[in-house]
Amino acid sequence: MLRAIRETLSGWVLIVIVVILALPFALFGVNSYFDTNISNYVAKVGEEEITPADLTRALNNERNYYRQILGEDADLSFMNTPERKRATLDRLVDGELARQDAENAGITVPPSRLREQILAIDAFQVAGQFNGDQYLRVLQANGQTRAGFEESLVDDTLRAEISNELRASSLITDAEIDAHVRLRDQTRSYSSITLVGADVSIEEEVSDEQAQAYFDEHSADFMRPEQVMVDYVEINADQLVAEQQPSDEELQELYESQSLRFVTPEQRLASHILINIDGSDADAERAALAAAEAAKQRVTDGEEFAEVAKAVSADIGSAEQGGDLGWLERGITDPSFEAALFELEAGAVSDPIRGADGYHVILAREIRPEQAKPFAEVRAELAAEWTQNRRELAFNEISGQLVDQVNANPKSLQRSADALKLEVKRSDFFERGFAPGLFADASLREAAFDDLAIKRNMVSEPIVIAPEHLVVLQVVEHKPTEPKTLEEVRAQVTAAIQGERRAEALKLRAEALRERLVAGGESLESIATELEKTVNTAETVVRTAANQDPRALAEVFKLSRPGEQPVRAVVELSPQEWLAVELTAVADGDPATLDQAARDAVRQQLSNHWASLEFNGYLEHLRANIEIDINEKQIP
Amino acid sequence: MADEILDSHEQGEQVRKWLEKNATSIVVGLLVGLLAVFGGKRWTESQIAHRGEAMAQYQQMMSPEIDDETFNAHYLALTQSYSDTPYAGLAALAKSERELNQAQSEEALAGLRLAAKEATPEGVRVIANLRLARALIAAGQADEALRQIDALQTAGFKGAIAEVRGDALAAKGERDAAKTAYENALSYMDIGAAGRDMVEMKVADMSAVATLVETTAPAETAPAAAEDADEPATEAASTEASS
Repeated sequence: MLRAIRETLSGWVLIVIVVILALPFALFGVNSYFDTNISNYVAKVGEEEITPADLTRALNNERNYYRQILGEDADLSFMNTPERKRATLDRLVDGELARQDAENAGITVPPSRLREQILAIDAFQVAGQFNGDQYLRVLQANGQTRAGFEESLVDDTLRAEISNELRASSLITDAEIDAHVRLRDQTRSYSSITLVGADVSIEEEVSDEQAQAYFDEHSADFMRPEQVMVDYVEINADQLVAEQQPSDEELQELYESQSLRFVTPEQRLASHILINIDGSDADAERAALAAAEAAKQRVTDGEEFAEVAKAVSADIGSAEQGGDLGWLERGITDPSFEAALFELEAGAVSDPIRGADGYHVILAREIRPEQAKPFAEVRAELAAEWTQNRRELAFNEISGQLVDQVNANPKSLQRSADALKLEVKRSDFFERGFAPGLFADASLREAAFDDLAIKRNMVSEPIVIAPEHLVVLQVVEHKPTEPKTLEEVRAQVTAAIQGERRAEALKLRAEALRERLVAGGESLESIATELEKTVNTAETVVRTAANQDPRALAEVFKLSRPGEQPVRAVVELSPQEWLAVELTAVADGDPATLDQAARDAVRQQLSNHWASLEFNGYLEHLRANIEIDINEKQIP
Repeated sequence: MADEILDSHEQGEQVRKWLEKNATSIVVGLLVGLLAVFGGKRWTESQIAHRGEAMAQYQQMMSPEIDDETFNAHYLALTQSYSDTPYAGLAALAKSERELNQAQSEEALAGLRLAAKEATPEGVRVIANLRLARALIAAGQADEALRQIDALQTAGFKGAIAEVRGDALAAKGERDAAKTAYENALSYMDIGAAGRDMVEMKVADMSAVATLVETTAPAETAPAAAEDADEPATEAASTEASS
């Protein structure tokens, strides 16, 4: 059969068939046949997948961001919660929704815009100018291809474009600003009295049955958290070699071996005039030398060196500063330049010197001779270093031995300690969340409440709690979470029951009062006199008035506007506090009193409000219209 | 086997004959196909260029400190030649905002009406409708604003729609309905959302005389609930209250 086909398919028939088969590849490329189709996405938005690698990258970016804000050593464990990861994933999904929406709507980023964006990125600039080589280098260093990077820029633009532009045209009407100011700057005048728990008397006696009933009902509130007691060995370099002092000979030796540290080498404050050599032949060389000699001549003839440098020096960087090069030490500049500079007297000008880039005329403006600190001056410093050094050595040695011992005796801290003649100390019981003293250190508590430490009674790893300070611990006793007994908490239960009774009595009383004030139309004044309460009066106060109870203000500003009659109300501030209030006047804020800046601030605030309403609404709309599949299991 | 080879050979002959007979059609078909593919590519490319121009044009229009004349020229170009891109709608929104700030309310409303009808994609169109409704309220046309909002059909924007509806109802003096709308808007906002206190302020402002009724109403049910509560406490309270 195969042979038959081969025989038949000869000549131009074969060619036609091959051409037909080859066409799709030529026109559409071979890529589409190799697209991998493994579905290990964390989220799928429409047809686009967000991979676990995408999510990991986003999480890393966030982590770096927080590290920049909070510092290198910040505790970023809050970033590792599932909720946090889900929030980041949701952000990626939102971005992808916005990108697809923009793309489907026909937004295309033109090369000119892309170019503008790339030119504006600092990392690609050399001396304030975009540099093509730098661009490629930075991309390579970050493991990105140019096409990949540019595509990601385009995607970023698409994600943000519509929402950015909507925000840019965010519209706030004058009526909205006025309405907001009227409410925000509204003032109210009122008088009030506060009823408190102490105003009512209650049955103080709590019977055993009542206490028991309350205790049973609220058992979850009366739990003792789990606790552990540990044995521990502590090694602290501070206590290791406190009594040892270095001898003078040892320090002298140290001083000599590190003498370079205590010497500030000679420095010279230099200026120069550079004459470039234009070309490589002898004529150019001669011309440059002649120009350099002429420049020197102008200085010897009395012109300021700086002026001449400004006029003729080819070193653009320094010429502006009168040829100034700053303080120089040996080993920084061109060898021939350096040799000439360090031979000059202070204030002297050199003959033209041939350097790598042309002829230099050098001025040594000032000379700071080499300075060495004498032994006596640095003795204390050296002694401190010596001690520190000994400590570190001793600490490293003993901690190394301790690690070996713990590895050999994973179940007995005592044996390790005995072998090294270290003291085993015992802690009190402490809780996971808090402990005094040494165990205030969270990493120690974490180790003490570790599963292995508790269930299998293993000696912990050495825990470094400060430089040259470590602890090894072993759990002695573990008390799991357990209910407390009624006897232990009887006082607490009694107080809670009394509090409930007081709150109930107070509520009844407040309601009776409301009946008289609101329905009965009695004045607050008369009731205050009857209850022997002082009336608090507030005249034209704003919402944020500092001299009023903010809870009271919040309630007062919810009341309706008074007409002929004041508005009276009785409201709860807390179970033990009720406010009886008489509102006499409400005056709206006056938008006309705002200056332009204040008005702009309100506009900005409202603009943010509406922009975020619009943006959130937009995402809500996209989520309803594009299919989203979240694959929780793939979240790293 | 021999039969089969012979058959295959015969079939080969048939294929050859068929190809000879239909050669012209095949060649023409191939050419048409190629044309379609290359033409499609060209069309896509010109489409991409066209869209890119729209973005660049819009960017120029939005550059800061642009004068009115240039702004309007860009606007016209975008709405006339690029109405197939989102930038036509976005430009109308930007123009309306500019006009509103220059107190040209009629022109602003016209621009918003256009965007509310024709902006793409749908999300932008809904936002144009919301802004139109707010501008209408400011212009004293709360009824039309309400009609505008009620005609919207979208699965998103619930919070924004509720707040605009509240504003429209408040402008009409329908305080109870406005309060319900604002409360509805609050229910779509996060607890920590920045604008929450603004909406809460609006809710409180709409509470109106209704507060009186509301605070007195629970007073009727509360004592009943308290009766079957704690006996000694009730006694103590009533003696205290009557003293």
